[in-house]
Amino acid sequence: MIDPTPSQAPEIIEAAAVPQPQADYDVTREVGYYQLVWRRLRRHRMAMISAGVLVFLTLASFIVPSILATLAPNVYSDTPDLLNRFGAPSWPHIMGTDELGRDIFRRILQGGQISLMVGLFGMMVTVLLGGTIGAVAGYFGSIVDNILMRITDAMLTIPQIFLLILIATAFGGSVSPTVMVLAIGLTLWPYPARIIRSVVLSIKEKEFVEAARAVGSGNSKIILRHVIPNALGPILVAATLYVGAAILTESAVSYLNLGIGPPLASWGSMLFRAQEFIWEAGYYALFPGLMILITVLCINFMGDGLRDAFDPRSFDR
Amino acid sequence: MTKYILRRVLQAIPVLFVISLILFTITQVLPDKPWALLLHNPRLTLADRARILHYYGFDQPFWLQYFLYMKHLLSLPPDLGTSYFSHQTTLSLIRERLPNTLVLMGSFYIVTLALSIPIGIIAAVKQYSKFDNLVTTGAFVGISLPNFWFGLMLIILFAVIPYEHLGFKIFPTGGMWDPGHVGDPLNLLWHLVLPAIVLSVQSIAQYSRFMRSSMLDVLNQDYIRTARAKGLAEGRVVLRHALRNSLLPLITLMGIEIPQLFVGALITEQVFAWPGMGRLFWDAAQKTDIQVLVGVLVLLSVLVVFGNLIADVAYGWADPRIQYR
Repeated sequence: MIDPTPSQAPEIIEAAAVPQPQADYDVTREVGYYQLVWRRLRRHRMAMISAGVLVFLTLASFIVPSILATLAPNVYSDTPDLLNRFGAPSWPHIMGTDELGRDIFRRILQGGQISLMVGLFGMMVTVLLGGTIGAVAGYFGSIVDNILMRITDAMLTIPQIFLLILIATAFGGSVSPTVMVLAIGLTLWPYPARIIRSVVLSIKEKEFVEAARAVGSGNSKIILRHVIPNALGPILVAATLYVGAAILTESAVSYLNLGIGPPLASWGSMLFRAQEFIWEAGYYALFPGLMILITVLCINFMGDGLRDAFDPRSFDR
Repeated sequence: MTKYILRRVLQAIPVLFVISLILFTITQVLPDKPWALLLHNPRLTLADRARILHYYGFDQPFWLQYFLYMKHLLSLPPDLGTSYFSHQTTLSLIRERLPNTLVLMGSFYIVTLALSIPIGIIAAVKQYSKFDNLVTTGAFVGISLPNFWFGLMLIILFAVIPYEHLGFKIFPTGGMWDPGHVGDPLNLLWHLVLPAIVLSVQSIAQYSRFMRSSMLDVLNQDYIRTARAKGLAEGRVVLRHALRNSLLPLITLMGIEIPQLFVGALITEQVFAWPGMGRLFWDAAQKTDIQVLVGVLVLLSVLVVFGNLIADVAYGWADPRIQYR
């Protein structure tokens, strides 16, 4: 809400002369919580740019590979072309060709499908699992809390990627994206569990929860109607950041050749191949890693923007 | 103090117990069992298989197996299991590799602390300056950076490109020593440069941010104002009065970050073919040698628990304001 203090008044008048979107200036309209959040988020430039980049990357990953294959099947195909191995970046292979003569640009976009999907679903499993455990621990307290938090502490002590590799390895054979998603969820859940537990602990003590209990609401109704909606902000921020964490984790494990394997590609597994051929084709290693960096950076910027947007202290600005 | 240490050790025991239970349960639940390698030979008859499983006690009920497992773990020297691939004990495998990883981790602490403490101090003293903004942005890139890719880029930049154009490598692509130079500290140092950078790059970002905020906290305290009021030079105020207290939270951070350091070592060792624990773990994973995987994980978890314990005690030792009760 803009507060027309004397120092700002001339600008306000000036701004009013130009037709402006009504929502920002109509003081008589009631503004909801999420509207305020959205306004704050919209003003966070890096977050909005990042969101645009991510949408663009996602659309490109899922649409462009098949378009390329239909338009120029001779140039872009999944079949190996051993005469064109390790072609340096040039037209039409703008990022060069890999050890089987496939176009790296298209391969990166295909790998993006896997990396982005694993990131998104990995985050969902992580947050659902961690959220449930954290919420149960925080809400019910006492013995339940004690047991669940001891398990959480122990899980945080075990180095995450090592545990993930143990789980992925024990599933046998090459790791499918589904196994990867489950393994990410099973190893990363303690982090959101802790955050959500502390959020639930503070909400549980609020007057409106007491009031709900006083009018006879049961536990499940209080959790679903009162606790979760109020915890949504921190959960959303954490969830955004865990997409990045999941992508980094997946790519690290796939880079170790213990994750997503051929015929599928992910950015991490491409880097594993690239290291084998680092003397033949240095450019091979450049682009997949750049994609990871850009994607995770954008996700982190979005998380940052969301955190600012949900921060109640920033609402009056 | 002794009482405090003793109590912290006693608190660590249940954590270790829960960790062992979690790891044991995971190995029992997953599709590939720890003993899978024992039954790899296709010519084994069903009776042979049953006999082998019985010999190792793998046909016992869950709780009895866990009891046996714990008995082995708690014996002296601890029995971390045996590789069913090479039939060496996990402990002997680890003993070969652990020093190499410790060298890497030592270099990590030197590089990270030597860089992030000054960066953090300058960023805090010149808050909101260009340098401070650069550090903030750098920290953001740092946490988003896939360090294995960064390692590959360093290899290309310092080994592949110079070799192709100049005929020599500025830094080697991997390994600990050159053949014929084993034991030569200079040769080791030369091989250590790139791995140390890769292992530290993310933490430098994180530690400098941490150092910055810790320094800002301290600079706002009353005793700093007093020091300035009595006319001390600003450099002395920052480096003598503020620095000491602002270093304290770093001890806690170093304790918390140990698991991440192991993960970093795993990746760095893979990038630079460094023959440490990470490589051992990786080799075992390639062979689905689950016994060794679990053995290494148990040891790492114990190291993490004790690292945290040491950090707690060190904090108390470094900060006399902490009360032991």
